[in-house]
Amino acid sequence: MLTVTDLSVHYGPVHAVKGVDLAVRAGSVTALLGANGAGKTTTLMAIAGARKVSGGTIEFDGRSIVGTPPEDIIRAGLAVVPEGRRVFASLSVLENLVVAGSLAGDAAVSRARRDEMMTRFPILAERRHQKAGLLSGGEQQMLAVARGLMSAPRLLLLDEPSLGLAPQMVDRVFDLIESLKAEGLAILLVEQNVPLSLEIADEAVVLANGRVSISGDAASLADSDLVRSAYLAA
Amino acid sequence: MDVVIQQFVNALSLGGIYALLALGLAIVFSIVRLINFAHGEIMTVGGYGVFVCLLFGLPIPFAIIVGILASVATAMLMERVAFRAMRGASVVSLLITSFAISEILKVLFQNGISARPKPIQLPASLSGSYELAGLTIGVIPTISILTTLAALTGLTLFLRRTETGMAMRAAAEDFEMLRLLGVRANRVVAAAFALSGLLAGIAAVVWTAQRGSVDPLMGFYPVLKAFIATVLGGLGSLSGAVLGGFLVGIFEVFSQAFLPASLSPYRDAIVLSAVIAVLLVRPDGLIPAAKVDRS
Repeated sequence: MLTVTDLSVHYGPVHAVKGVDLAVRAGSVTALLGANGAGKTTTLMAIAGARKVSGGTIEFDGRSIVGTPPEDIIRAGLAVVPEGRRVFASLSVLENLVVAGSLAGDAAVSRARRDEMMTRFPILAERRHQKAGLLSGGEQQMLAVARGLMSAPRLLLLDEPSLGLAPQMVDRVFDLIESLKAEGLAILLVEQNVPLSLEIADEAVVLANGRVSISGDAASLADSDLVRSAYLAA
Repeated sequence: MDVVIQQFVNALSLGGIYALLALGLAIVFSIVRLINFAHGEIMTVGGYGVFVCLLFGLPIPFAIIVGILASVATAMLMERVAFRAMRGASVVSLLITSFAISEILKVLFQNGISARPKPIQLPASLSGSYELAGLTIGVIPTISILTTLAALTGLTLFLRRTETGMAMRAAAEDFEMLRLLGVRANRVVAAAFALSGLLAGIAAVVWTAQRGSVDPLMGFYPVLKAFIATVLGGLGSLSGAVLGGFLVGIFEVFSQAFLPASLSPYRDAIVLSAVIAVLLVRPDGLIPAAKVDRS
């Protein structure tokens, strides 16, 4: 469904992503792992059209999306839940969802999706009129996911959803990812929590200094010595 | 005491115009980080729209609508022709672009229409005044205050209740994120310019009614004051722009009315010194904009 080949991204003089290959198959989860600054977020934002691609190809459903504005990529069926959640802090929970639902172009569809999100995340229904900036980190993460789902995507790009959350909340986030996967949503998961990510993912790609250092199916990666010594502290 | 109250009415009517202009500047700045120096010319076009309609003997309500629509169209055209190509450019490049547009339009008005003020004939009923609780209050200041209030209420409702309004508030906070939700950036930016043009058009109508004439610089000076108002209130903050607008209006009217004649040449200097004093204490303005800057 998503195929990234030889992707390069420059930040000014810095070559942040150097020839990355990765793929997400329909209905599966690909984990994108690596240390801070390895190029994970840059790769994800480049796929979403929010960073300028300097080389390589990105294909979504077999069509190249390099150079396409982010709003058109999203409309093609891809959703982004960015690092740091980036909820609109001064808008209420409900307003965050209304804004995200506007791409449906149909008030009834948008309302139905909103109701769906409120049922799925009861805490959001409870806080619907509260400003998003006043929610806890975990609640903001739920809102960020719900906001991404408002476009009824087929592929979800999730960037560090467990970052800065309490252990209990981390479990809930991974439960959520699991249930989204069970519903058939394809997911590209950028994470620093390697053990949990490998458990949930079908495939994994490990980045180091902007390059792929190792990739393959998640189960065999979890058994590999390199990953075990570097991330799993085995 | 009566004099103070009457001057207060004048201050509110002038401050209201500054508030409308400052709001237009703030709405555009909050979304595209553009300080639009050509905002004054958007207002001037509105004034000429009214002038041309009345010249042809068209009814006043029609002239008002044409004036306002002319401002909206000018603002949207500016965005489409000049600023869209510059999207994402540095603040300085955007500022210089807006200077250029402003100069081009001013020259067009001077050479195409007239460098001198053109009088506008208004019905006598508008220039009158009425008594309220023993005070003499002008009809036009009253209309301008009511118009400003209606515009501010309408704007608040628009930003709070409509999808586009919410998207504009979201864009002011995190424009890239809004695009990452699939919301069309160009539409939100066009809406912001249309809104700023609408507010400038309303200001133009009220200003023209107060002055009874239009000239190529009619928008330039009030917008200069509106710039001061946005900085005083907090650049990019909408409530700050309104507060700043009214404060500048109050400063201006009261210094005009109550400063001794020997000090009046220094009026602007005194007002601006007061602004500097406020900024020394509150560098981000009175009501700073809540904005997460992302690079």
